[in-house]
Amino acid sequence: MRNLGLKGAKLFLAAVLFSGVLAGCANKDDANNEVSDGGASGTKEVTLKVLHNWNGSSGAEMDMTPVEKVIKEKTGVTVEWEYTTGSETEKVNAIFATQDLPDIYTGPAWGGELDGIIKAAKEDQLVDFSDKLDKYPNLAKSIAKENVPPALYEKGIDAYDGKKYLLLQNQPATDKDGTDWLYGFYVRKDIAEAVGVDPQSVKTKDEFYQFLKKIKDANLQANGQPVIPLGGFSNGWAVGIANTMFYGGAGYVDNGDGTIENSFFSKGYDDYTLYYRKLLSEGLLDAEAFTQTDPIAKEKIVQGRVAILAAHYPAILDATKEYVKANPGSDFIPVGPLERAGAEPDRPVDLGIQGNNVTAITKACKDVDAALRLLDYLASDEGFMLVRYGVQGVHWDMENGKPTAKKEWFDKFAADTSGKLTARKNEGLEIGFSSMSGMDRINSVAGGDIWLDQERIAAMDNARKILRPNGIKVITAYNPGDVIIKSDKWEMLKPSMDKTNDAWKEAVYAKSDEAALKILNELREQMRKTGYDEAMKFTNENLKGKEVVTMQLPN
Amino acid sequence: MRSSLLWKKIWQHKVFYFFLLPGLVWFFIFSYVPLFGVQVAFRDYTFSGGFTGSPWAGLKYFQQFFDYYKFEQILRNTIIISFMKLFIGFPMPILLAILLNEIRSIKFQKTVQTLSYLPHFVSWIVVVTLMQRLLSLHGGPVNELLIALGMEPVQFLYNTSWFYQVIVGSDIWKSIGWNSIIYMAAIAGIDQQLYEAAKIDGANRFRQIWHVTLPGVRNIAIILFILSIGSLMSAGYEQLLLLSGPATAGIGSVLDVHVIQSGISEGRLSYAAAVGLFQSVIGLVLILAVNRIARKVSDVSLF
Repeated sequence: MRNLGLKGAKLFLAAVLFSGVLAGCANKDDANNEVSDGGASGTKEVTLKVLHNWNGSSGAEMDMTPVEKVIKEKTGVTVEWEYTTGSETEKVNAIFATQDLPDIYTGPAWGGELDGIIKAAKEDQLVDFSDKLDKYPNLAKSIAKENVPPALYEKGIDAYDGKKYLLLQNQPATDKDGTDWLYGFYVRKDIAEAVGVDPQSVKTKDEFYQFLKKIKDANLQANGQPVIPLGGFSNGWAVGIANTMFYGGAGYVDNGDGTIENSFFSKGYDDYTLYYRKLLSEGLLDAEAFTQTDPIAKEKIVQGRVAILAAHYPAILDATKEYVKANPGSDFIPVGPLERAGAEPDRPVDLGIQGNNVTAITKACKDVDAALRLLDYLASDEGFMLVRYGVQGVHWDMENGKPTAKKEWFDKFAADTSGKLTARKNEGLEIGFSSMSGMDRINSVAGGDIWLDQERIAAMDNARKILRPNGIKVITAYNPGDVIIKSDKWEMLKPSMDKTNDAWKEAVYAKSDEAALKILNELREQMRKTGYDEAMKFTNENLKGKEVVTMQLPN
Repeated sequence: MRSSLLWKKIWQHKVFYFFLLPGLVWFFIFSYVPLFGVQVAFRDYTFSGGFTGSPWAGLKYFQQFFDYYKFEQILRNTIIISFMKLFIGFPMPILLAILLNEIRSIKFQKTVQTLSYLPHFVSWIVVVTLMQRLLSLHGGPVNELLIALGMEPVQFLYNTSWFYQVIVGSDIWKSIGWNSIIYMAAIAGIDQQLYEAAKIDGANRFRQIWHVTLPGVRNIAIILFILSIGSLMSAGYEQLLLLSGPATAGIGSVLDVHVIQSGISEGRLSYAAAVGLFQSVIGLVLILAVNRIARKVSDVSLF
């Protein structure tokens, strides 16, 4: 009897443990699906899950920041954030394949991420809000035909037989708006001085190579380690931006006979690849540049072990803030301006400033009207100022018709030199709302970035003067990449086209120039086999007589 | 008659059989239920159509895979890495189990055993991060030591010259302790009288291992070898995804990583399913073939 009781107890315990495991695996989302009536503004209160699909983005340390409190008061919506750590393209594919959908999706307006969300729209995974737009004027305005670049409008906004699934954000509302991120190579001032090179005297690819070589030959040490002549951030970002010295920098090149070609097939692309192979094989480019994680990359930077960085300037200023503070005179300054293949010396820099973010409401959204209410509020001028500046009267005031930061908060934000922006995030800034705040009106409607300190403004202005001597030209021409996808060969061709970046990196690490070119040529052959020639013929026919993007700098 | 006797015995020992239940449930949920999704390999998968509503595509995605210009390279790399892991890595746990069995201090034996199990519980992402730190060219302690000894620093990671050593070495380090458990159990089950008889016959420690211990683990080793052959087309996606970079792509691109990249990164779910199915079918054929050979050669087989 005693044994039987013991056995029974064991069985019971096993069953309880097993059911506990199963219960632990169960979905706990139910707790967040609350919808209740009666917010402070009289609107229905609801919690919506927003996927902010930007790799590395992050939120506040608390659940409800001051900015989120105001948003809740105005719209009745509490946002529960989900941030992406990893590939944005993988994330967008994964959420639709597994049907683990947020209420609202927001993410990059380019590449595989955009392709993924357009595919989802075409396959009824998103909510069509075309019949509700008249109630939400700020949203209607942000995707009006005249406010969206034509190719993007055709590809992503007006591509569903009159239905509307996607919202575009951060496209400049006027010429005064829009951000030039000042991508380029930046060198540590003290190192340039140590090797006796004026960074502004470096113009050509050969001069750039000689500059790197001088740094290497100087055998400089930092933190007990040799200084790396050229490095970048995680996974190779944005080490490859010297491509503009070899071809136009856009995805397609002009053949000179009225037709265009994918730049991967150009002679300039071969030269560009072999140039990087040379940098790598001679130890001028960090061998870990394409494989390192973000913490490792930033560790090298904060230890002063990288002489020249390739990236946009704000990222460099953020990453080097602490080091520069501890080592005055070690700030990063622009190299060049470097030559641009095929560009006249007085040509303004061609930049694609066309909105960087798309937002959609998924079919799993528990309250579509609440989602639209939230997005419309964020896209309003009031919402725009709230998510860029903080709460009026708390973080900033309107003085003489101009938004002015309160000193207390300005000093608090400026004191945060970690680069993580924790102080700002805890107030509700930089946590994702600005991705969804309609067209960029930072200068035309608001009053510029009130949180920038004078040193940073001066550094950005200085870099702008050096790198943009002829100003900038915002690209409005057609992108062949938006046309080729309409070819009937695209489905077969796309997998090969997606490999160009992988092939380039593999070629850069090849043992010889011949091996590098072989890697590129093998992929070219595969692209031809999978319909490249027919797809290009289709693209050329469709772009006949139209202005096409063949010159572009990263932005 | 025999069948009813079997059921009677099972019923008699039902409590023990109950312990099988979680395992069976696990296999059913994670190995058999997903088989339903295999049909995606023969369909043009759409988010809206799902598994059953997407249009049929026939063998289109298999054809795409066979036409892929790196098909041969990926297949070759997978087989080479798997073979190396199998033939270098397979005997290691047996060796460790025998060595542990020969240790006379129980305390020391248990300590070594526990330490050797630990890497099994550490995820590949942690292992690779540790390796990146330890083996880095820029301040990694291993290279610091080499420099201190007057030697040239070595780029161990993402380097074709060291790729196989790193892959096979880290795999052995991570799995040797855990895989030795089953051999330890087999050794513990060997009749002690056999050792005593061997001693009386004048066998030294080495001879005892050779003539008693090794034959004692032979059958279990063959069974595990047959099962390992089934994974020959699977070189381990986490490890290869993390430890292979552009520099080693020529020798490090394997089927598992290709499946993940085409499915998750590129969103080609049907294609990825087709490649995965191809991998599984080859694995099954290999298991059947090796099982048959093992039965003929040694009378030990899975079925």
